[in-house]
Amino acid sequence: MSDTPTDQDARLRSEIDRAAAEYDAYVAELTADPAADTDDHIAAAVAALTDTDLPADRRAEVLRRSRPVLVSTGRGIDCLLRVVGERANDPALRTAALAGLRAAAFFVDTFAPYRTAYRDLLRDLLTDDVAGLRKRAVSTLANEHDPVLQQTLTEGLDGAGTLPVDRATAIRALAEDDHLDNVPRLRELLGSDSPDERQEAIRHLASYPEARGIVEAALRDRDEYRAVRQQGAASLRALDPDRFREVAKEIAADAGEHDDVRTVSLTALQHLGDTEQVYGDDAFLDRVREIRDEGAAPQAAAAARTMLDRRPGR
Amino acid sequence: MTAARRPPVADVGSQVDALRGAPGGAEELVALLPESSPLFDGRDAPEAARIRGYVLAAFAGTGLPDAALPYVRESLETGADADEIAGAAIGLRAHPDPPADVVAALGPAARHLTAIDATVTFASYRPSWPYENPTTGMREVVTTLAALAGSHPAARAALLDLAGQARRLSASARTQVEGAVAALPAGAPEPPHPCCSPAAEVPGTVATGPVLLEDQDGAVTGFDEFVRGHRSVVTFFYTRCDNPYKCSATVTRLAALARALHERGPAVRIAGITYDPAFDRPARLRTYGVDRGLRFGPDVRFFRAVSGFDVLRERFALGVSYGASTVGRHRIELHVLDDGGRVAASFTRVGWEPDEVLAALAEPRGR
Repeated sequence: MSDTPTDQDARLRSEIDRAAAEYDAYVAELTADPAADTDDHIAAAVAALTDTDLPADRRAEVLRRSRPVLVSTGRGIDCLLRVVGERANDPALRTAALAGLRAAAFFVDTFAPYRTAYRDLLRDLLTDDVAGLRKRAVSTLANEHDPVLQQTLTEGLDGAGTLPVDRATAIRALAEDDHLDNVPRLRELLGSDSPDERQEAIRHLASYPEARGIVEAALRDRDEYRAVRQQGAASLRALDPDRFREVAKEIAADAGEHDDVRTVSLTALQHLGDTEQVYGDDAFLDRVREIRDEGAAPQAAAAARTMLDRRPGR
Repeated sequence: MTAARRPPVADVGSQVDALRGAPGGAEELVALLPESSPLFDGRDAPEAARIRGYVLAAFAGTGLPDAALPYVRESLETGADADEIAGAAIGLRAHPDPPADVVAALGPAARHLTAIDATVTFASYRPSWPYENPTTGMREVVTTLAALAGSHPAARAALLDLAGQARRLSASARTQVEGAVAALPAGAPEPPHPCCSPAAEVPGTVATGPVLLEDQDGAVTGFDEFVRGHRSVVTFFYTRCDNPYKCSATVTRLAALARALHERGPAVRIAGITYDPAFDRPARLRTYGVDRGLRFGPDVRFFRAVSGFDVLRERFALGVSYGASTVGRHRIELHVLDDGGRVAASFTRVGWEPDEVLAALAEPRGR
């Protein structure tokens, strides 16, 4: 017998009531007070989290279950900062507390008084023993274009200091700020064995007009992974839409090119950018008619038919 | 339109530090402030902000001359970096009697810092973390406000405004503000003469050489062709400016100016020209303007220089520097041209309001 909406609603309400009851029971147990209010809860949670005699797994449970009040109150945020900052604490506890701080940052007004202390903490984490904390700190500080991070990574990449993360991650972190001189480092990333890293390099190179040739080369490289070529297309289109259109035409018309790549090119020409120019290019449309009849490239042929069917004024 | 990629100039820090206690050091520090200073050439934007803050803080050792005041005001009003704002606040304390408009800029600085404050230091130019002698932008701004609150109503008002937002301040900043408020003496009269009048310099004749422009729709025209025969407003910006108080605010105000001009009748041409012509292609220019309320038309256009940007740069003495890839640092910049293409008034470095530009347009030519 299938659930009716009424059944589903009743079941949902029951689940909510059960979760609320469990939560209340947890707070009562934590505070040893069945009538505990939010302030009591926060006080008890802070006491537990900062009690170094308490087993790490118990403290982690308190953090997990009390997280809503910790991330939305000043006392809770202050506690989380202390938990992360205490290097003797269990790494998993510190990591969970750092995740809590990232959530707390969205409570803009409540978090405002702690923003500078949070950034200081993240800067401290760049030299932490726990790799996962260093990596998270790098990620957050990179989004902020933090000068301490940028100097640390630049010096590390130049061999004048210690990198807090691997070289590829450092390059990607610096590339978050397109006002830096990132092209030489992104060229290095482009030489990586990892297609994901090459794709990221191409993505970031879309911010640098002088890299137009590089992204075009990635788009044209038949031996390159599809995702990297696709990114090359997106980056070239961002840098130089006119040049992208010409390259896409060449790829679409190239019988030696992969069928799926030709198809994507035709689709992009049909839908993106200056379609008036595309449909106004009689020589290219003649070639599209030939592609329509290419048995060896069925996907491209189908895309060509669609493109011709949708020609304006037809 | 970027500087050639070259090794950094010899130690910026040493150059600035040497001037701190040197005879004539203040004047030499002033010479380092403009964007055209060799100190900024080839510097990326983050480093350019650091340089500006470090130079301004250095005036603490020399005293702050009047010539530095427009730069202090600029950094306080539109700085988006704790380093730069802190340096400006420190430098301002070294002036014997700062003008009211510069002091008033501490208010916006404090507001901006509630979102962007960070720990900074001026113990050395390129410090390592953890910092020696750390401070924060807010601490320096509040210190300056407290020092000036007895003699400047604007400082008093800004301090009281901060006290009203105490819940957004760190505990240490809150304590500092509360202490400063408690120590406030009775009110003071408004000090005289602003440092930086809105309708600033009126430079000499500025002719233009051949400059080819492409607009937001891909149409090409010459700069002379666009401005000659019409009164014009020319401003400069770039779409990936990450300082919300500069380019984005400029274009938003430009949109308001365009609406006001449209209502008044006879066409005044408006040209927004990008500092970043290689990156700011037509579609990007169009989106940037539309997103900020600008209505494009035959007399209101955004441009990138297809050729001749260096001519514009020289002829308008643009306050812009370039890093390896894009703009390093730039000032707010708007010029009113007469119908001969000559600059009749300029609004540079200090923010402008549409009414002020309208007033400049209403001035008789050749004032």
